[in-house]
Amino acid sequence: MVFREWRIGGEQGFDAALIFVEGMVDKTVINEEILRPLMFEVEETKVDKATSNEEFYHFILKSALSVADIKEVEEYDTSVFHLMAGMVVFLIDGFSKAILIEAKGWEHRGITEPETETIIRGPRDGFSETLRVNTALIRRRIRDPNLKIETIQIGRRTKTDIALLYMADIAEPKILDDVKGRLNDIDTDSILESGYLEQFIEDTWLSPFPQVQATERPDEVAAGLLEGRVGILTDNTPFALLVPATLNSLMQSSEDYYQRWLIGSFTRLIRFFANFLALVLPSLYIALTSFHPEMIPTRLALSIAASREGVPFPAFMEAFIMEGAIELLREAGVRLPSPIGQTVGIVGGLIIGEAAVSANIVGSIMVITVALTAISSFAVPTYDVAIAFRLLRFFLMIMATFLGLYGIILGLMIILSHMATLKSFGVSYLSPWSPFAPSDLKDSLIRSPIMAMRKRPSFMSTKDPDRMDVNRRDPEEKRNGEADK
Amino acid sequence: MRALLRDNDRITPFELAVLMVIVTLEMGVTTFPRTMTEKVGTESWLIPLPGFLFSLLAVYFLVRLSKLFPGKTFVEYSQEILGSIIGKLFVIIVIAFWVSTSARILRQFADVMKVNLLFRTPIEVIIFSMLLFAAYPARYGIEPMARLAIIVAFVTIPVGLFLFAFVIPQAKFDNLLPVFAQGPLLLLKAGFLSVGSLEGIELLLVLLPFITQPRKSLKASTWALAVLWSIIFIVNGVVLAVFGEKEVMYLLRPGLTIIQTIELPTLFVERLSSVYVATWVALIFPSISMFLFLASTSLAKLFGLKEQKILIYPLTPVIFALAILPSNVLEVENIANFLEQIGVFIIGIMPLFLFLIAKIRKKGGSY
Amino acid sequence: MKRCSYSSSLHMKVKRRLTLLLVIFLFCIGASGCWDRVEIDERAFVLGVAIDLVPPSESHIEPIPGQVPIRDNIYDMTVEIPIVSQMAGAEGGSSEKEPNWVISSTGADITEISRTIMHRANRFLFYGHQKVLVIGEELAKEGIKPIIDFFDREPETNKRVKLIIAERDAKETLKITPKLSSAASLYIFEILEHEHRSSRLIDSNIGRALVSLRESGNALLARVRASEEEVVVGGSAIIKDWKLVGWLGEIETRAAMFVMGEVRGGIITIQDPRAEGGKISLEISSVKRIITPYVEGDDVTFNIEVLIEGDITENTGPNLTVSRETVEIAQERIGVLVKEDIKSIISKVQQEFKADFFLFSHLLAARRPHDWKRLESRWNEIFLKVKLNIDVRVRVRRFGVVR
Repeated sequence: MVFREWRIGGEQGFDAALIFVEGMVDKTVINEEILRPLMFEVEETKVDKATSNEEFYHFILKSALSVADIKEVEEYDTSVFHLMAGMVVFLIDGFSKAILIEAKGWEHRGITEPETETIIRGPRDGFSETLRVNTALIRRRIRDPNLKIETIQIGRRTKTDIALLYMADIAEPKILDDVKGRLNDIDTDSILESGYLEQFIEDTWLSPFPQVQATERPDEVAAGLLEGRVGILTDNTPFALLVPATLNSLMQSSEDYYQRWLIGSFTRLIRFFANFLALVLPSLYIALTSFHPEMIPTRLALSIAASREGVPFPAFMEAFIMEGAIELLREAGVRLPSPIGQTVGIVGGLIIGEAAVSANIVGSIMVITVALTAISSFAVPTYDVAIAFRLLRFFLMIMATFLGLYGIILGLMIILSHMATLKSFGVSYLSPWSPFAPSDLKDSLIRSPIMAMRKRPSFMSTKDPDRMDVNRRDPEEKRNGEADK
Repeated sequence: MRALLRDNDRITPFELAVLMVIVTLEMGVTTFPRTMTEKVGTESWLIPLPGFLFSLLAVYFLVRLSKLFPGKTFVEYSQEILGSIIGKLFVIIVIAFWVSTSARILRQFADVMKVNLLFRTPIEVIIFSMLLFAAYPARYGIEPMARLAIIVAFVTIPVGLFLFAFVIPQAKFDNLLPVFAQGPLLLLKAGFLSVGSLEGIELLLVLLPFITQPRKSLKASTWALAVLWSIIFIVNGVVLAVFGEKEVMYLLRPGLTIIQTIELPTLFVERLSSVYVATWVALIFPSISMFLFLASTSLAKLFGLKEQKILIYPLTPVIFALAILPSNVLEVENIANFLEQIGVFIIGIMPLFLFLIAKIRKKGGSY
Repeated sequence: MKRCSYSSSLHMKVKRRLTLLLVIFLFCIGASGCWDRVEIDERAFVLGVAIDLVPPSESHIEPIPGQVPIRDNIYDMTVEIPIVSQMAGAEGGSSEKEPNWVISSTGADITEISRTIMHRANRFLFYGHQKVLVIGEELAKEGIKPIIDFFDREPETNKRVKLIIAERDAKETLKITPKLSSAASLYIFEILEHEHRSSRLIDSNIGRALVSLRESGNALLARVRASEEEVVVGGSAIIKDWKLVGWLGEIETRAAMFVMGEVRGGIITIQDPRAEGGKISLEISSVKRIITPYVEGDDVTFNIEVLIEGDITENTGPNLTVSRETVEIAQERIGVLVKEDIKSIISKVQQEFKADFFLFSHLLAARRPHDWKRLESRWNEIFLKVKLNIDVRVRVRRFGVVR
């Protein structure tokens, strides 16, 4: 905290002070735009002509400060709050008001490529830790005055800035009110990351499934806003939240829309398939090898039996050991700096796997299963979903250990039932498959051509349902028609 | 669509139709070809025609009843029509029917599991685990169950029909002959009796007031019946065409055994019948949930309780006990036959009866 | 909207109770074990089963005192089990040892023998991958009904298991190690699966055989014979009233399959009449068969129409180019050949075996239900006098890449 005191307007002037928090303000602005005019220019030009104190004060307020954003406050608490947020407080002796001068400027990470959601085709910018930068990234994408950004502070002590973003003429007001209501209900001392918020506002916190979508990508948020969803940006974190979230939306990547539709659809199908594999593959291994070998083709069954010959553990132990090892590797790889992390991956994956097989601790088919499962789980675009399914994988493995294939199906049914009970801000988690909305299937397992998706998702009940003129002709058709003439 | 967003405990007509189909497709469908062939011989594949007509009549009267008493389930209107005591008796019969039907389904299902997937696992474990897990969605009311049913329907019915498609090359259509050799009366009678095994129709007794667009409920349930009978038609026809009359009557569950005969060069899965049995697990699950829901909702309404879900776990031991009661497969079959007759009474006769009495006694709304 | 997550602690309580219930459930089944879990390496995969009849003098079972002595057949069951550790890929596998274990045991019923073998092998005998069931000649003559019942009832066994009758002893067929396959059972199974390449053997699996057997007690089953070095699969065995009554050669089998409408391929070769030693070979690509029954009083006539389509694969006639004449000759001659084959097989069936395994009765019942009701009781006599109108038409479609 820095207190800079001086006397403003020479001998017959006033005592004045600038208060600001070191490191949160831009020193150049203070030196050049605040102190210089107040110390020298005021002295030279105006002060002796000033007759009343009031006039002098107004002159300072209106004409002396060459910064864009200033504000008067009378309450002590407010000024302290703004001081903590990086404003410069300007006090003049004899006036019961503080002038708040916007000179925020702190060291921050620049806009870099998001590391959790990398894509091949698409913008490279990701959110950073500064809220205003982040809102600007959205605003740059949507130049519509209907894009509303409302800022509130949450957290008794942290007073974290939360920005609520929505398209006023698209978003369903009920959802919006619901979001606002839940945000206002939060009573906590700190919001350090949007993960805190997420857990406070989600519908069912006992569920393993994320009911709020977290993303680092501004294009993802912009697309979400245009679908009628509500974005929540939190200061000090690059992770924005999008609500409502459905399983479908969590399985999508913004890149799907940037590629040609066939490719986008193909990658989506791959992704769903990968997710399914990641969920059931180890449990299927357990069920098929120790319960139903009749389901495996004869030659494969024999070679699995041959590969397990001499392995001391039952198949489920084998699976738990290997899956546990993979989880260990993954966690270790995340915590270590990236070059070492890769080494850990190679050492763990290749050497331990190979050694385990040759030491007859696990069968080679098991190693293939585990590797395939691990790769599949990394194909899921949203980390939160991937980890939820990873957790449920162990549940299914337990079910398979006791009841075989029947256990797996029963486990899948209970997971499905659970998803059927979930709602995210009133939207069913399994939309658009269930409740069945045929028109929304265009953007689910497959991604239809953009021209075919003329309407926004119907389950969002948007105010403005149309993305484009529904009756418009296909541009391709139109061009061909003109060529014919 | 907007209504969907907020209304809890409401289902769309489409969801009603899906629920009807899913609930009816239980283990009974696999024995259906045998029981029908026992009744009418090679004409059994024609039963869906009269069956559809009779079940349509039942559905029609159920929908009319619900229109006479808008917003009321059968628990309320049967008491209004028949008087408090007889009405209550009827309601209790129906609830007992649901409880015992779900026990019957569970038992048949567990028997199938024991001969197809889990040979040595005690039947109690299979029944108990299914019952316990199926109770979970039933607690959350009708909406999640409708959601569940849709996904289950979209996954299992195509898989089942896909597997059936592999059987078709073996079909010998001579096995479907002769037809109409015994006159139409036998067929009509069998069609009427077959209505008793369509548990899905009974959903209408309770679910009609939960529909978002009541005007469409008749249309939706007609569609459900059409889909249902088409599936039964395919299963019956294909099974009969492949096995022939005698073998169908010899097999315990021709609808299951038939998948074992699929002759395909080995795919990724050697035994498709296990996959087929696995899809049955998924099909049984919502049926059991639904019966638990129906029984608990009706009981709650009968006793004037506000919440149905507190009744679900108390119901499970009853069903469990009923399910493990029969000593062997033959006994289960006898019970199934008996329940089918009760089903004929509840679905085939009662709706018309209730409707006529309501009209005579001038109960209910104006139209 | 009600904020369920905040407002109701009931919700939480219920969930907690549910979780508790789940945990209890898991503990319960965990404590009592997992009944069906048998590790894949603890199972002995039975690939093939061969069953023979033990000659009466060799049976050692004494009648239980005080009970009516039952004249019981004693079976000799042989199973083929692959030794997985000998397989390529397994540690320490060597190609010198036998890749399969062929183990036999005797007993009065299949279940009993199965238990004995399980005991001796110290592994779970697992029938889920059984490929063949070979029944010895002597046993087949006694009747196959008691044998099949076990495999029909046993849920592990697939309905696709091939049902084969062996000439002489069945166990010998499993003892031979085929050159290009790891087990005799797999070899026999695969040959039968490729039945459509030649149509000279009948692909009889338990599922289909049982449909026919239960309908009439008659069936055509595949025939297998163990020679010195290899297993010969070809021709068929005739089962009447569940008993073996005779054999059909390969050509006869094909003729029978024409009647049954099951020919899907194979080669038919004829002499080219235009020159000494000239031959024309036709590869069958598709066959259509239509049977229509006609009934007049007690006279039953079946119209059998067979339409064969195929390609000429060899033509060693006088002029090597396939001419219009060649095609016509091939079409006519092959038609005559097949017709004669069919005639002779049906008359053989009528005269020699007196058994209706083409299920003409079934056809009659389906198409002429009223006549069938009249004739049903006397069908066995009537069948012997059934007349046939056979019409075989052949269409040559292609003849390779040269003219």
